[in-house]
Amino acid sequence: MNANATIIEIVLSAIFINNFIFSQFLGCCPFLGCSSKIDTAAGMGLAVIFVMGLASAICWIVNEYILVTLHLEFLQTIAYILVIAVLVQFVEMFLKKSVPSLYSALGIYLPLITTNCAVLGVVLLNTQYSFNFLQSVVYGVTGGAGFMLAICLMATVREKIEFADYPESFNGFPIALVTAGLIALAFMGFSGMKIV
Amino acid sequence: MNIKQQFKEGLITNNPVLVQLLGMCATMAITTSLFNGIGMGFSVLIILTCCNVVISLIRKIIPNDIRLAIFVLVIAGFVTIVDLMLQAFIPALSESLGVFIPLIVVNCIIIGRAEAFCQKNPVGASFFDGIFQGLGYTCVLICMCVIREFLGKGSFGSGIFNTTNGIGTGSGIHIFPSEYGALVLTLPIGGFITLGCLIALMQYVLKKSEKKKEAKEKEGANV
Amino acid sequence: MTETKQSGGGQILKLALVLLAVAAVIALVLGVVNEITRGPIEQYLNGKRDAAYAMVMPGDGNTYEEIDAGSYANDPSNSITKLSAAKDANGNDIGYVAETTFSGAQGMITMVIGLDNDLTCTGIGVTEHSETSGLGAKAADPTDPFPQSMVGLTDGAKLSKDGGSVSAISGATLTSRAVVTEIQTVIDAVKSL
Repeated sequence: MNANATIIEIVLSAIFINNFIFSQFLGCCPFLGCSSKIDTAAGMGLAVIFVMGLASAICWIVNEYILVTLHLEFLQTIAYILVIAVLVQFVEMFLKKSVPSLYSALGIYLPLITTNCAVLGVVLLNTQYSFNFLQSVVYGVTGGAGFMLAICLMATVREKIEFADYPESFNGFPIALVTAGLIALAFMGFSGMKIV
Repeated sequence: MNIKQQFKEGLITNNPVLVQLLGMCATMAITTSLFNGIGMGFSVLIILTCCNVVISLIRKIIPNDIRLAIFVLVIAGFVTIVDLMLQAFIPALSESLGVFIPLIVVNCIIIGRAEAFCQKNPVGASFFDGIFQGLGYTCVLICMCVIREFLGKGSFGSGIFNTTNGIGTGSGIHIFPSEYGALVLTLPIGGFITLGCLIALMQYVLKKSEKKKEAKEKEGANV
Repeated sequence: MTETKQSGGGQILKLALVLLAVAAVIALVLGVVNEITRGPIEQYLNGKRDAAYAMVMPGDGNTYEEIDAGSYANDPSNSITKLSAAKDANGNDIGYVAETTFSGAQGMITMVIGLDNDLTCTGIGVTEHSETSGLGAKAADPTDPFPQSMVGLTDGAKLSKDGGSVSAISGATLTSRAVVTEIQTVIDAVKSL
């Protein structure tokens, strides 16, 4: 991917071909932690889409108009993580006051997003690929959509796994990891796709 | 808490990856060659130790309300330092780890240790905690690398042995021809499955040793 | 992150000041580190580019003169980032070197391509890529037969799968095709000069 990627390329790549979880390993902790039930998985997915889109937009502005103009590119990581932390806090406060139903649905997942590496990952990748504003936002939102797809798929499978008979030592995370590996195998089928 | 106990906790009973289940992203993503594993492990070790010491030093003067923001700032600072240093002095490593070096900022191990340990403990203990937890992390990375590399490519220590053109370019010691390797293990899938099996193994071992302990205690009670 | 409590303005101001002080100290330290590391980083990047140039263009003491981007035909995705005319130590024209960035099978590939005066490829050097290790990544390994087989490629060369004579890296047709197509793009660009 580079600055010349079209919107459709970015969308397909972020959701399927280079899915954040299955091919880039970004956001694995919440992916494994919040995927035991489909409801919580969907809530987490929604929250991530929202924050990734907003973070992409704001970090792009910060990078373009503050860091690059002042030649402070080396402060990128620190500036981005601050933006994300503040953003998550604001979103939480805003939702609590104005959309309480959504707030209670997302609940504890919002603060957790700060340490979701998919969010920091997407803004760092936006800079690395030198995307423009629109591309960054699209990559952020669809990257989040890819995350949501992955976590929902995982949750539906995990609900069934509870009835399966597997070695006792694999209880909990290990079986989830193996399952994720198998889903990743299926997602590899997309990697042969090439959009021209 | 003494050093010996901390050592055992960091490496085995409270291992950051296998038991606390923290910092999985990088563990799965970069463990395709021994060079990456060792490089990432030591980067985290250094950052973790520095952050632990600094946070433990300033733990009494930071207001409780904004402690997390300050932790994140300190961590991001050290990560950037390490990132720049690697780019300047070990560029091969910086290139092969790519975006995963800045992503150490959100590695839950570091903020987890800051919150759970350094806030409450003096500098010395925090320093050793950083070293041992870092070592525990490095050991897991090395295990993953060795397994994935051997089964996937039939080699050992790629990037470190048989260097042709400076550090990081070696092709490793070939144990069997790479055509016979299960290439799938070097791909993302391999990361998930290898880590799953390692954690399962850890759970098995821990459970077994617990049972042994219980049996011993019972025996002791009978006598 | 920060917990918001109903507290007086003075309290908030104090928190903000503490946060500002910490941020300032860290920014200062980073500034110093940046000063120290900037030189080596730049040196490394230049060295890497020079090495790639030397790999695709034989001979010592070559000089490269950049050609204005408006004067040649670039493909629709603007994959050629820099095209230079190469001169040997005595000032004779010996060919062209192009720096290109194009999409491979997994992500972007950054590659240096050398051409001699007859538009025959003198070699390729991949400087950055994210292809699958063990498959597409072979294109970046100078000891692999595939990049070596790029030497001598001429106008119109195609993969054997596409009706040409170049054999692809097995299991990595997409990467191989992308590399061969990119060489053709550079040949076309030089032809249009």
